[in-house]
Amino acid sequence: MSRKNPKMFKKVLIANRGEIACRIIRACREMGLKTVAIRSEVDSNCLHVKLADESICVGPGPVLDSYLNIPSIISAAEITGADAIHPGYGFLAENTYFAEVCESCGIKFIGPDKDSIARMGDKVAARRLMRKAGIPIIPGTEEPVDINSADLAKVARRIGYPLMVKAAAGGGGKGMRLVRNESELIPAISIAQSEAKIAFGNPAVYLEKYIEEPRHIEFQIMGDSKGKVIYLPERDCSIQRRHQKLLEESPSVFVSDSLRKKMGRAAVRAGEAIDYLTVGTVEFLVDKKKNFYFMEMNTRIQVEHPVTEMVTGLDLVKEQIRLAAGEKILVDSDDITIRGAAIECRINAEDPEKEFLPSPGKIEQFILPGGPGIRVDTHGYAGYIIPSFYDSLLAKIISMGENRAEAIGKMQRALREFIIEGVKTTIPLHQQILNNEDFLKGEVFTNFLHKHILGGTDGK
Amino acid sequence: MNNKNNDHNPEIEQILDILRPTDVVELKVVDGDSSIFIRRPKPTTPNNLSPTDKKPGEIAMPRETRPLVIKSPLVGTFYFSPSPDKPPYVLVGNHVGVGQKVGVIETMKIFKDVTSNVRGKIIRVLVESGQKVEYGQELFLVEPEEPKNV
Repeated sequence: MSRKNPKMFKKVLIANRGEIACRIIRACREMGLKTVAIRSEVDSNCLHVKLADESICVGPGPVLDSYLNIPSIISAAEITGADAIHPGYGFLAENTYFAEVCESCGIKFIGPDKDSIARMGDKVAARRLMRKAGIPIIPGTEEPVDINSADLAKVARRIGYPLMVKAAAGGGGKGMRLVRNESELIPAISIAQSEAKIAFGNPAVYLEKYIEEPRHIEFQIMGDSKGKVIYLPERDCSIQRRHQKLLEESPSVFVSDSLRKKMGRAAVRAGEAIDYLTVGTVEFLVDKKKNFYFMEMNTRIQVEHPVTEMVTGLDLVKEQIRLAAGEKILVDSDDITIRGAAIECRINAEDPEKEFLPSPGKIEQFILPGGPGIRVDTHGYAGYIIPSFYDSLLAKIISMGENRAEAIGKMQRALREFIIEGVKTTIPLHQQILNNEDFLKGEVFTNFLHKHILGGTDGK
Repeated sequence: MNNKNNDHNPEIEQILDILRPTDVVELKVVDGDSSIFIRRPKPTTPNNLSPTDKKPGEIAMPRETRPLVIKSPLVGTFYFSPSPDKPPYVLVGNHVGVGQKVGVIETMKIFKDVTSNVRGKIIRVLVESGQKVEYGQELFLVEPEEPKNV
C-alpha cells in the first residue's frame, strides 16, 4: 500500500473547516501531501487554518459567501496550485455541480464520481435505483411531492401515518419532518422545503413510511476504480436528536454475524449499482424483527467514521485519498476483523438544558481527556472563539475497548476528564446516556434520546 | 435655546443627522426667540465613511486622516488592466471615485472588474499585477479627499 503512486496528488485543498478539516490535513501530512486550508473572514483563528501549510480567505462569514462559494474555492485551488480538493462532510461534499466544476478545471474531487453523487444525492432517484438492485426500501413516494397537488392527502394516506417528509437532496436530518396526521402534513412539507432549500439549495421533498422504534444501522463501504466494492463492520447510530446523530458505536449489539453479512452485502450491491468510488456509507433502518430497509447513501466521509477506524485499524481518510488517486483495494470484506468495540460521543457547543440552543463564544478552558483507548478529534482550544455562523460540533471523543462494556467505561472516564469552560456543551447529556440502563443493555432505538433522556419533552 | 450641555435634544440630534452627510460647516436656526448655532470643523474624511462608524456627539470632532482601503472582492489573480497591452486603470496619484474601475480579477477563467468603494487619491499600491489575491486582501491605499464644493 505504501508503494509510490505517480498519480498521487501533490497538494490538497480542504474545502471545509473545523474538526474534519483538521482530520483531513493530518491524513495528508502523514501521506506527505501539501495542504491548503480555506477560511472565511471570521475563521482566521480556527485550528484548521493553523494546521495547514497555507490558507486562503474565500469570503465573509456567511457560508453561502465562503464555504459554499464555488468560484472562490476553485479559484483558491487554482492560485495555490492544488491538484485535488477534499470536501469533507456537509458544505459541498455532495454537490454534483461542485464535483463537475472541479473536474472541468482539472482538479480532482476526492470523492465519488459526479454521476454517483447525483444518483445517490437525489434520494428519490436513489430509492428507485435501490429497489431495482433488489435492496429493500421503505414504502413511500417515487417522486418529489408537490405541496399544491390535489392528490397530496390521498398519496399520504396510502403510505399511512405516521410518515416522514424528507429532503430529496438531503442528509444530516435537515429538511426532515415527522407527520403524525393529516393536519400536520402541509406545514411539515412547507418547513422541510424551506430547510432543504437553505441546506442543500434544492427544496424538493418526498414522503416515506415512518418505522416505529427502528435502529439506525449503517455500513461503511469502499470502492475502487476497478469496480471492487467492500463493506466494513456496521455502525449503530440510533442515539439521535431530531435525526442528528449524537452517539455512534461499532459494532452494533443487535447485529449478529449472519445479519452483518446480509446487510453488508446489500450495502455492497448499493455501491456496485452506482459504480461507487472511494468511501461512502449506506444507511439502513432495522426494525425489531431484523428487517432492514435502505434509507440513504452518503457519498462522503462521515462525521462518525472514527469508530470504524478504531475497530478495523484502517485510516478511512487516507484510504479515501488513495482510492481517489486510482489505487486499488487490497483486502476483502471477509479479511476485516472487528478488533474490539468503539463509541463516539459528539460534543456540540449547545446547551442541553435550553433545548440545545447553540452556545457560541469564547472557550476559556479546554482540557482534553486522554489515556489508553481515547481519541479526540477537535478544532477547539482554550481562547478559541466559536463563531455563530457554523454548526455546533466542537469535538468528537472516541473510546475503544476490548468489548462494549470496556468502551463505555473508558468513555465515562473521558467525559469526566474533559473540561470545557466558557461555552455550554453536550457533555452532561452524554454522561446521562452512558449511565442509562437501556443504553447499557444495548436497547437503543432512534427514539431513545427523546424517550429515556429528554423525557419526551423535546419536540418530536 | 442655548444647548451648551450635551443633553440629548431630539431637535438638535435631528438637525445633526441632516447635516452629517453634507459639507455644511456653520448653521444658525432662529425660531421665534430660540436659536441654535452649530459650527463644525471642515470635514477631513470623505462622506462615504459609514455614519455608523461615528458615535453621536463625535461628529464635531476633528479626526486624523487615515488612508482608506480598496480590498479584493474575490479570490483570484489581480491585474491592473484588462489586458497586458492596455494601460492600467489607475496609477499612484490618480483620483478615484466610488464605482470607478481600478483593476480586474481573473477567477475561474473569467475576468471581473474591481471597483473602488471609496473616493480619494491613490497613495499606494499594495499588490503587483498578476499577483494571487484572497478575499478581503488590501489592494490600494487611498487618501480621503474633501468633496468638491459646489
